[in-house]
Amino acid sequence: MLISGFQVMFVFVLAFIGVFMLYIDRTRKGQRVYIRRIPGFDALDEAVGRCTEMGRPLFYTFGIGELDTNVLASFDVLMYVSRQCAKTDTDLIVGNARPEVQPMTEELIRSAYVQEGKADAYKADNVRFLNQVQTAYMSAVLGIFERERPAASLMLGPFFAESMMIAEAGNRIGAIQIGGTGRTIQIPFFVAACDYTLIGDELFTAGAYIGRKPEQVGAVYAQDFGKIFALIVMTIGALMATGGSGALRDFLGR
Amino acid sequence: MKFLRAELPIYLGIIGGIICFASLFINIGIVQNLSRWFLEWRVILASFALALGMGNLLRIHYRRIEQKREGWWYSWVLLIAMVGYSILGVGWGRSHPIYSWIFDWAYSPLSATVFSLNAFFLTTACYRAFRARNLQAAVLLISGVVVMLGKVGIGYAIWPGFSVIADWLMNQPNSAAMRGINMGAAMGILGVSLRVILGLERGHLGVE
Repeated sequence: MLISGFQVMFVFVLAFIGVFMLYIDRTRKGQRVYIRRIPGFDALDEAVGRCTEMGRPLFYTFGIGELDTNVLASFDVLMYVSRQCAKTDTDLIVGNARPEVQPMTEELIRSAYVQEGKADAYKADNVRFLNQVQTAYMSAVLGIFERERPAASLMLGPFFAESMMIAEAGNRIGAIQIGGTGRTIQIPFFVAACDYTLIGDELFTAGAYIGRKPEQVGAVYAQDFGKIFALIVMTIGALMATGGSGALRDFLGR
Repeated sequence: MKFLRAELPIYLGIIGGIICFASLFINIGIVQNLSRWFLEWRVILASFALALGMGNLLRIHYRRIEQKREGWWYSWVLLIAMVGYSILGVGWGRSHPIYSWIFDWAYSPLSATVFSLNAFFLTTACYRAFRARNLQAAVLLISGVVVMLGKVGIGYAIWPGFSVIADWLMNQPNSAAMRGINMGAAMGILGVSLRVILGLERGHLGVE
Protein backbone atom coordinates (compact mmCIF):
# COMPACT_ATOMS: atom_id res chain seq x y z
CA MET A 1 0.00 0.00 0.00
CA LEU A 2 2.85 2.41 0.80
CA ILE A 3 4.82 3.53 -2.23
CA SER A 4 8.29 2.00 -2.33
CA GLY A 5 11.09 4.49 -1.64
CA PHE A 6 8.81 6.73 0.46
CA GLN A 7 8.11 4.45 3.45
CA VAL A 8 10.71 5.91 5.82
CA MET A 9 9.83 9.43 4.70
CA PHE A 10 6.17 8.68 5.49
CA VAL A 11 7.11 7.65 9.04
CA PHE A 12 9.22 10.81 9.41
CA VAL A 13 6.33 13.02 8.23
CA LEU A 14 3.97 11.32 10.72
CA ALA A 15 6.49 11.92 13.52
CA PHE A 16 6.81 15.54 12.40
CA ILE A 17 3.03 15.98 12.53
CA GLY A 18 3.05 14.47 16.06
CA VAL A 19 5.68 16.92 17.30
CA PHE A 20 3.88 19.73 15.46
CA MET A 21 0.58 19.02 17.26
CA LEU A 22 2.37 18.56 20.61
CA TYR A 23 4.06 21.98 20.44
CA ILE A 24 0.88 23.68 19.23
CA ASP A 25 -0.94 22.21 22.23
CA ARG A 26 1.82 23.38 24.59
CA THR A 27 1.91 26.94 23.23
CA ARG A 28 -1.89 27.11 23.35
CA LYS A 29 -1.72 26.17 27.02
CA GLY A 30 0.51 29.19 27.58
CA GLN A 31 4.02 27.77 27.48
CA ARG A 32 6.44 30.65 26.98
CA VAL A 33 8.41 30.38 23.77
CA TYR A 34 11.50 32.06 22.43
CA ILE A 35 12.01 33.02 18.82
CA ARG A 36 15.32 34.67 17.96
CA ARG A 37 15.34 38.15 16.49
CA ILE A 38 14.99 38.32 12.71
CA PRO A 39 16.17 41.79 11.55
CA GLY A 40 14.28 41.49 8.24
CA PHE A 41 10.93 41.36 10.07
CA ASP A 42 11.95 44.02 12.60
CA ALA A 43 12.66 46.34 9.66
CA LEU A 44 9.07 46.16 8.34
CA ASP A 45 7.95 49.05 10.56
CA GLU A 46 11.03 51.02 9.52
CA ALA A 47 10.12 50.47 5.84
CA VAL A 48 6.52 51.60 6.30
CA GLY A 49 7.64 54.55 8.47
CA ARG A 50 10.10 55.69 5.82
CA CYS A 51 7.37 55.65 3.15
CA THR A 52 5.06 57.62 5.45
CA GLU A 53 7.71 60.25 6.20
CA MET A 54 8.69 60.66 2.55
CA GLY A 55 5.10 60.58 1.29
CA ARG A 56 6.01 57.86 -1.19
CA PRO A 57 4.46 54.42 -1.73
CA LEU A 58 5.63 51.02 -0.51
CA PHE A 59 6.08 48.39 -3.21
CA TYR A 60 5.43 44.70 -2.53
CA THR A 61 5.89 41.76 -4.87
CA PHE A 62 6.00 37.94 -4.71
CA GLY A 63 8.19 37.21 -7.78
CA ILE A 64 7.11 35.14 -10.77
CA GLY A 65 6.88 31.75 -9.04
CA GLU A 66 3.53 30.02 -8.80
CA LEU A 67 1.28 30.01 -5.75
CA ASP A 68 3.30 27.89 -3.31
CA THR A 69 4.36 27.91 0.35
CA ASN A 70 6.64 30.92 -0.28
CA VAL A 71 3.61 32.97 -1.33
CA LEU A 72 1.45 31.63 1.53
CA ALA A 73 4.15 32.63 4.06
CA SER A 74 4.53 35.99 2.34
CA PHE A 75 0.78 36.64 2.74
CA ASP A 76 1.34 36.90 6.52
CA VAL A 77 3.85 39.70 5.94
CA LEU A 78 1.60 41.40 3.38
CA MET A 79 -1.31 41.32 5.84
CA TYR A 80 0.84 43.03 8.50
CA VAL A 81 2.27 45.59 6.06
CA SER A 82 -1.20 46.35 4.65
CA ARG A 83 -2.52 47.07 8.14
CA GLN A 84 0.45 49.31 8.93
CA CYS A 85 -0.02 51.16 5.62
CA ALA A 86 -3.74 51.56 6.35
CA LYS A 87 -2.98 52.93 9.83
CA THR A 88 -0.46 55.47 8.53
CA ASP A 89 -2.27 56.38 5.28
CA THR A 90 0.66 55.13 3.21
CA ASP A 91 0.10 54.00 -0.37
CA LEU A 92 0.77 50.29 -0.91
CA ILE A 93 1.46 49.09 -4.46
CA VAL A 94 1.46 45.35 -5.10
CA GLY A 95 2.76 43.94 -8.39
CA ASN A 96 1.63 40.38 -9.15
CA ALA A 97 3.09 38.12 -11.78
CA ARG A 98 0.71 35.19 -11.25
CA PRO A 99 -2.97 35.59 -12.07
CA GLU A 100 -4.06 33.10 -9.37
CA VAL A 101 -2.38 35.26 -6.71
CA GLN A 102 -4.16 38.43 -7.88
CA PRO A 103 -7.67 37.82 -6.44
CA MET A 104 -6.20 36.53 -3.16
CA THR A 105 -4.00 39.61 -2.83
CA GLU A 106 -6.91 41.96 -3.54
CA GLU A 107 -9.07 40.24 -0.94
CA LEU A 108 -6.31 40.18 1.68
CA ILE A 109 -5.45 43.88 1.36
CA ARG A 110 -9.10 44.93 1.26
CA SER A 111 -9.66 42.88 4.42
CA ALA A 112 -6.66 44.55 6.14
CA TYR A 113 -8.03 48.01 5.36
CA VAL A 114 -11.49 47.01 6.63
CA GLN A 115 -9.99 45.64 9.86
CA GLU A 116 -8.25 48.99 10.41
CA GLY A 117 -11.51 50.85 9.76
CA LYS A 118 -10.11 52.42 6.59
CA ALA A 119 -12.17 50.63 3.93
CA ASP A 120 -12.49 53.84 1.89
CA ALA A 121 -8.71 54.27 1.74
CA TYR A 122 -8.24 50.96 -0.12
CA LYS A 123 -7.12 51.63 -3.69
CA ALA A 124 -7.99 48.75 -6.01
CA ASP A 125 -5.81 50.21 -8.77
CA ASN A 126 -2.72 49.76 -6.59
CA VAL A 127 -3.05 45.95 -6.61
CA ARG A 128 -1.83 45.26 -10.10
CA PHE A 129 -1.52 42.17 -12.24
CA LEU A 130 1.63 42.80 -14.27
CA ASN A 131 2.48 39.75 -16.34
CA GLN A 132 3.49 36.15 -15.80
CA VAL A 133 6.19 36.37 -18.47
CA GLN A 134 9.43 37.09 -16.63
CA THR A 135 10.82 39.86 -18.85
CA ALA A 136 7.48 41.66 -19.15
CA TYR A 137 7.05 41.46 -15.36
CA MET A 138 10.58 42.85 -14.81
CA SER A 139 9.88 45.73 -17.23
CA ALA A 140 6.62 46.53 -15.45
CA VAL A 141 8.32 46.62 -12.03
CA LEU A 142 11.14 48.81 -13.36
CA GLY A 143 8.51 51.14 -14.80
CA ILE A 144 6.74 51.40 -11.42
CA PHE A 145 10.08 52.14 -9.73
CA GLU A 146 10.94 54.93 -12.18
CA ARG A 147 7.47 56.52 -12.30
CA GLU A 148 6.23 56.16 -8.73
CA ARG A 149 9.56 56.04 -6.83
CA PRO A 150 8.56 53.82 -3.89
CA ALA A 151 10.54 54.52 -0.71
CA ALA A 152 10.52 50.82 0.25
CA SER A 153 10.47 47.61 -1.73
CA LEU A 154 9.54 44.26 -0.21
CA MET A 155 10.33 41.18 -2.28
CA LEU A 156 9.11 38.09 -0.48
CA GLY A 157 8.14 34.95 -2.36
CA PRO A 158 9.31 32.48 -4.99
CA PHE A 159 11.82 34.49 -7.03
CA PHE A 160 13.72 33.44 -10.12
CA ALA A 161 16.19 35.49 -12.24
CA GLU A 162 14.09 38.64 -11.76
CA SER A 163 15.39 38.93 -8.17
CA MET A 164 18.66 40.59 -9.21
CA MET A 165 17.13 43.15 -11.55
CA ILE A 166 14.30 44.20 -9.23
CA ALA A 167 16.54 44.41 -6.16
CA GLU A 168 19.21 46.41 -7.97
CA ALA A 169 16.65 48.75 -9.57
CA GLY A 170 15.19 49.35 -6.10
CA ASN A 171 18.65 50.11 -4.80
CA ARG A 172 19.17 52.67 -7.59
CA ILE A 173 16.09 54.66 -6.56
CA GLY A 174 17.20 54.57 -2.91
CA ALA A 175 14.40 52.37 -1.59
CA ILE A 176 14.88 50.47 1.66
CA GLN A 177 14.68 46.84 0.59
CA ILE A 178 13.77 43.56 2.27
CA GLY A 179 14.16 40.40 0.23
CA GLY A 180 13.35 36.82 1.16
CA THR A 181 12.77 33.53 -0.59
CA GLY A 182 12.87 29.81 0.06
CA ARG A 183 14.63 29.39 -3.30
CA THR A 184 18.20 29.16 -2.05
CA ILE A 185 19.83 29.94 -5.38
CA GLN A 186 18.36 33.47 -5.41
CA ILE A 187 19.50 34.41 -1.91
CA PRO A 188 22.99 35.72 -2.93
CA PHE A 189 21.33 38.28 -5.22
CA PHE A 190 19.17 39.59 -2.39
CA VAL A 191 22.18 39.67 -0.05
CA ALA A 192 24.10 41.75 -2.61
CA ALA A 193 21.36 44.30 -3.28
CA CYS A 194 18.95 44.41 -0.30
CA ASP A 195 19.23 46.07 3.11
CA TYR A 196 17.76 42.99 4.83
CA THR A 197 17.50 39.41 3.60
CA LEU A 198 15.39 36.56 4.96
CA ILE A 199 17.46 33.42 4.42
CA GLY A 200 16.07 29.90 4.01
CA ASP A 201 13.33 29.09 6.48
CA GLU A 202 13.16 32.62 7.95
CA LEU A 203 10.43 33.59 5.49
CA PHE A 204 8.34 30.62 6.65
CA THR A 205 8.39 31.87 10.24
CA ALA A 206 6.69 35.13 9.22
CA GLY A 207 3.32 34.26 10.77
CA ALA A 208 4.91 33.11 14.04
CA TYR A 209 7.26 36.08 14.32
CA ILE A 210 4.74 38.77 13.43
CA GLY A 211 1.49 37.28 14.75
CA ARG A 212 2.83 35.16 17.67
CA LYS A 213 -0.15 32.85 17.31
CA PRO A 214 0.24 29.53 19.19
CA GLU A 215 -0.28 27.31 16.13
CA GLN A 216 2.34 29.23 14.18
CA VAL A 217 4.86 29.40 17.02
CA GLY A 218 4.34 25.68 17.63
CA ALA A 219 5.08 25.00 13.98
CA VAL A 220 8.42 26.82 14.25
CA TYR A 221 9.36 24.62 17.22
CA ALA A 222 8.44 21.52 15.21
CA GLN A 223 10.61 22.79 12.34
CA ASP A 224 13.56 23.06 14.73
CA PHE A 225 12.90 19.49 15.88
CA GLY A 226 13.02 18.39 12.22
CA LYS A 227 16.28 20.23 11.64
CA ILE A 228 17.94 18.71 14.72
CA PHE A 229 16.75 15.24 13.69
CA ALA A 230 18.05 15.75 10.12
CA LEU A 231 21.40 16.99 11.46
CA ILE A 232 21.80 13.89 13.67
CA VAL A 233 20.88 11.54 10.80
CA MET A 234 23.29 13.32 8.43
CA THR A 235 26.14 13.16 10.95
CA ILE A 236 25.58 9.44 11.60
CA GLY A 237 25.22 8.81 7.86
CA ALA A 238 28.44 10.71 7.07
CA LEU A 239 30.36 8.74 9.74
CA MET A 240 28.94 5.42 8.49
CA ALA A 241 29.70 6.29 4.85
CA THR A 242 33.26 7.27 5.84
CA GLY A 243 33.58 3.88 7.54
CA GLY A 244 32.39 2.16 4.35
CA SER A 245 28.84 1.30 5.42
CA GLY A 246 25.83 2.25 3.29
CA ALA A 247 23.27 0.71 5.68
CA LEU A 248 21.68 4.02 6.74
CA ARG A 249 21.45 5.23 3.13
CA ASP A 250 19.75 1.96 2.12
CA PHE A 251 17.36 2.19 5.09
CA LEU A 252 16.34 5.79 4.27
CA GLY A 253 15.79 4.83 0.63
CA ARG A 254 13.12 2.26 1.49
CA MET B 1 -21.70 34.64 2.53
CA LYS B 2 -19.11 34.42 5.33
CA PHE B 3 -19.19 30.63 4.94
CA LEU B 4 -18.39 30.93 1.21
CA ARG B 5 -15.59 33.45 1.68
CA ALA B 6 -13.89 32.30 4.87
CA GLU B 7 -14.86 28.73 5.74
CA LEU B 8 -15.47 26.86 2.46
CA PRO B 9 -11.93 27.59 1.12
CA ILE B 10 -10.49 26.21 4.37
CA TYR B 11 -12.54 22.98 4.13
CA LEU B 12 -11.62 22.56 0.46
CA GLY B 13 -7.96 23.20 1.36
CA ILE B 14 -8.07 20.57 4.12
CA ILE B 15 -9.72 17.91 1.91
CA GLY B 16 -7.59 18.64 -1.18
CA GLY B 17 -4.41 18.96 0.87
CA ILE B 18 -4.84 15.67 2.72
CA ILE B 19 -5.68 13.77 -0.49
CA CYS B 20 -2.75 15.22 -2.49
CA PHE B 21 -0.40 14.70 0.47
CA ALA B 22 -1.55 11.08 0.92
CA SER B 23 -1.14 10.35 -2.80
CA LEU B 24 2.62 10.89 -2.42
CA PHE B 25 2.87 7.96 -0.02
CA ILE B 26 -0.16 5.71 -0.48
CA ASN B 27 -0.80 3.74 -3.64
CA ILE B 28 -4.58 3.30 -3.57
CA GLY B 29 -6.56 3.90 -6.78
CA ILE B 30 -9.18 6.25 -5.34
CA VAL B 31 -6.56 8.43 -3.58
CA GLN B 32 -4.44 8.68 -6.73
CA ASN B 33 -7.49 9.47 -8.92
CA LEU B 34 -8.82 12.10 -6.52
CA SER B 35 -5.37 13.69 -6.30
CA ARG B 36 -5.17 13.90 -10.12
CA TRP B 37 -8.68 15.39 -10.17
CA PHE B 38 -7.73 18.10 -7.66
CA LEU B 39 -4.55 18.93 -9.60
CA GLU B 40 -6.52 19.20 -12.87
CA TRP B 41 -8.95 21.58 -11.18
CA ARG B 42 -6.01 23.64 -10.01
CA VAL B 43 -4.96 24.18 -13.65
CA ILE B 44 -8.53 25.04 -14.67
CA LEU B 45 -8.91 27.55 -11.84
CA ALA B 46 -5.55 29.14 -12.71
CA SER B 47 -6.84 29.61 -16.29
CA PHE B 48 -9.91 31.42 -14.97
CA ALA B 49 -7.62 33.57 -12.83
CA LEU B 50 -5.80 34.67 -16.01
CA ALA B 51 -9.07 36.21 -17.19
CA LEU B 52 -9.29 38.04 -13.84
CA GLY B 53 -5.71 39.27 -14.36
CA MET B 54 -6.57 40.58 -17.82
CA GLY B 55 -9.65 42.25 -16.36
CA ASN B 56 -7.44 43.97 -13.78
CA LEU B 57 -5.11 45.26 -16.52
CA LEU B 58 -8.05 46.49 -18.63
CA ARG B 59 -9.61 48.30 -15.64
CA ILE B 60 -6.39 49.99 -14.49
CA HIS B 61 -5.32 51.15 -17.95
CA TYR B 62 -8.84 52.22 -18.96
CA ARG B 63 -8.87 54.50 -15.89
CA ARG B 64 -5.45 55.89 -16.75
CA ILE B 65 -6.72 56.81 -20.21
CA GLU B 66 -10.03 58.15 -18.90
CA GLN B 67 -8.32 60.39 -16.30
CA LYS B 68 -5.52 61.38 -18.73
CA ARG B 69 -2.85 60.52 -16.16
CA GLU B 70 0.84 61.03 -16.98
CA GLY B 71 1.89 58.72 -19.84
CA TRP B 72 -1.73 57.75 -20.53
CA TRP B 73 -1.05 57.03 -24.18
CA TYR B 74 1.29 54.17 -23.16
CA SER B 75 -1.83 52.53 -21.77
CA TRP B 76 -3.34 52.69 -25.27
CA VAL B 77 -0.28 50.85 -26.61
CA LEU B 78 -0.66 48.16 -23.94
CA LEU B 79 -4.41 47.71 -24.49
CA ILE B 80 -4.15 47.59 -28.29
CA ALA B 81 -1.27 45.10 -28.11
CA MET B 82 -3.00 42.90 -25.53
CA VAL B 83 -6.46 42.84 -27.12
CA GLY B 84 -5.21 42.82 -30.71
CA TYR B 85 -2.74 39.97 -30.19
CA SER B 86 -5.35 37.97 -28.24
CA ILE B 87 -7.89 38.34 -31.07
CA LEU B 88 -5.24 37.37 -33.62
CA GLY B 89 -4.23 34.28 -31.64
CA VAL B 90 -7.74 33.09 -30.81
CA GLY B 91 -9.25 33.99 -34.21
CA TRP B 92 -6.58 32.84 -36.63
CA GLY B 93 -4.41 30.53 -34.51
CA ARG B 94 -0.82 30.69 -33.38
CA SER B 95 0.51 29.48 -36.73
CA HIS B 96 -0.82 32.55 -38.57
CA PRO B 97 2.13 34.35 -40.27
CA ILE B 98 1.34 37.76 -38.70
CA TYR B 99 1.07 36.18 -35.24
CA SER B 100 4.44 34.43 -35.71
CA TRP B 101 6.04 37.55 -37.20
CA ILE B 102 5.06 39.67 -34.18
CA PHE B 103 6.32 36.97 -31.82
CA ASP B 104 9.64 36.47 -33.63
CA TRP B 105 10.45 40.08 -34.53
CA ALA B 106 8.88 42.11 -31.74
CA TYR B 107 8.30 40.01 -28.63
CA SER B 108 11.46 37.86 -28.73
CA PRO B 109 13.98 40.70 -29.32
CA LEU B 110 12.28 42.90 -26.70
CA SER B 111 12.33 40.03 -24.23
CA ALA B 112 15.99 39.27 -24.91
CA THR B 113 16.88 42.96 -24.56
CA VAL B 114 15.23 43.25 -21.14
CA PHE B 115 16.84 40.03 -19.93
CA SER B 116 20.28 41.12 -21.11
CA LEU B 117 20.01 44.15 -18.80
CA ASN B 118 20.54 41.64 -15.99
CA ALA B 119 24.25 41.56 -16.83
CA PHE B 120 24.59 45.29 -16.02
CA PHE B 121 22.49 45.07 -12.85
CA LEU B 122 24.58 42.08 -11.76
CA THR B 123 27.82 43.98 -12.33
CA THR B 124 26.79 46.98 -10.21
CA ALA B 125 25.49 44.69 -7.44
CA CYS B 126 28.77 42.70 -7.46
CA TYR B 127 30.76 45.94 -7.30
CA ARG B 128 28.99 46.92 -4.09
CA ALA B 129 28.97 43.45 -2.55
CA PHE B 130 32.63 42.77 -3.31
CA ARG B 131 34.07 45.91 -1.70
CA ALA B 132 36.43 44.69 1.04
CA ARG B 133 34.96 46.73 3.93
CA ASN B 134 35.56 44.05 6.56
CA LEU B 135 37.00 40.56 6.89
CA GLN B 136 33.83 38.78 5.70
CA ALA B 137 33.54 41.02 2.62
CA ALA B 138 37.25 40.45 1.90
CA VAL B 139 36.72 36.65 2.01
CA LEU B 140 33.72 37.08 -0.32
CA LEU B 141 35.79 39.22 -2.69
CA ILE B 142 38.70 36.76 -2.86
CA SER B 143 36.39 33.73 -3.25
CA GLY B 144 34.34 35.51 -5.93
CA VAL B 145 37.40 36.53 -7.94
CA VAL B 146 38.93 33.03 -7.73
CA VAL B 147 35.65 31.38 -8.81
CA MET B 148 35.25 33.84 -11.71
CA LEU B 149 38.83 33.21 -12.87
CA GLY B 150 38.38 29.48 -12.43
CA LYS B 151 35.32 29.41 -14.69
CA VAL B 152 36.79 31.29 -17.68
CA GLY B 153 39.53 30.35 -20.11
CA ILE B 154 41.76 33.31 -19.32
CA GLY B 155 41.91 32.23 -15.66
CA TYR B 156 43.17 28.78 -16.67
CA ALA B 157 45.72 30.42 -18.99
CA ILE B 158 47.05 32.57 -16.13
CA TRP B 159 47.26 29.69 -13.66
CA PRO B 160 45.60 26.24 -13.98
CA GLY B 161 45.21 26.09 -10.20
CA PHE B 162 42.36 28.65 -10.35
CA SER B 163 39.93 26.09 -11.78
CA VAL B 164 40.92 23.50 -9.12
CA ILE B 165 40.36 26.00 -6.27
CA ALA B 166 37.12 27.25 -7.89
CA ASP B 167 35.78 23.69 -8.13
CA TRP B 168 36.72 23.02 -4.51
CA LEU B 169 35.00 26.24 -3.35
CA MET B 170 31.83 25.37 -5.27
CA ASN B 171 31.73 21.69 -4.34
CA GLN B 172 32.78 21.83 -0.68
CA PRO B 173 32.01 25.01 1.35
CA ASN B 174 29.38 26.34 -1.08
CA SER B 175 27.51 23.02 -1.36
CA ALA B 176 27.62 22.46 2.40
CA ALA B 177 26.14 25.91 3.13
CA MET B 178 23.50 25.59 0.40
CA ARG B 179 22.41 22.16 1.65
CA GLY B 180 22.13 23.48 5.20
CA ILE B 181 19.92 26.36 4.06
CA ASN B 182 17.89 23.98 1.85
CA MET B 183 17.33 21.65 4.80
CA GLY B 184 15.98 24.54 6.88
CA ALA B 185 13.81 25.75 3.99
CA ALA B 186 12.42 22.22 3.50
CA MET B 187 11.34 22.10 7.16
CA GLY B 188 9.78 25.53 6.78
CA ILE B 189 7.86 24.42 3.69
CA LEU B 190 6.65 21.32 5.54
CA GLY B 191 5.53 23.48 8.49
CA VAL B 192 3.59 25.97 6.31
CA SER B 193 2.04 23.13 4.27
CA LEU B 194 0.83 21.37 7.41
CA ARG B 195 -0.62 24.59 8.81
CA VAL B 196 -2.60 25.11 5.56
CA ILE B 197 -3.67 21.46 5.29
CA LEU B 198 -4.82 21.39 8.90
CA GLY B 199 -6.68 24.69 8.48
CA LEU B 200 -4.47 26.51 11.01
CA GLU B 201 -3.09 28.99 8.48
CA ARG B 202 -5.71 31.50 7.34
CA GLY B 203 -3.60 34.53 6.48
CA HIS B 204 -4.03 33.92 2.72
CA LEU B 205 -7.80 34.32 3.11
CA GLY B 206 -7.45 37.68 4.79
CA VAL B 207 -8.66 36.13 8.06
CA GLU B 208 -6.81 36.90 11.30
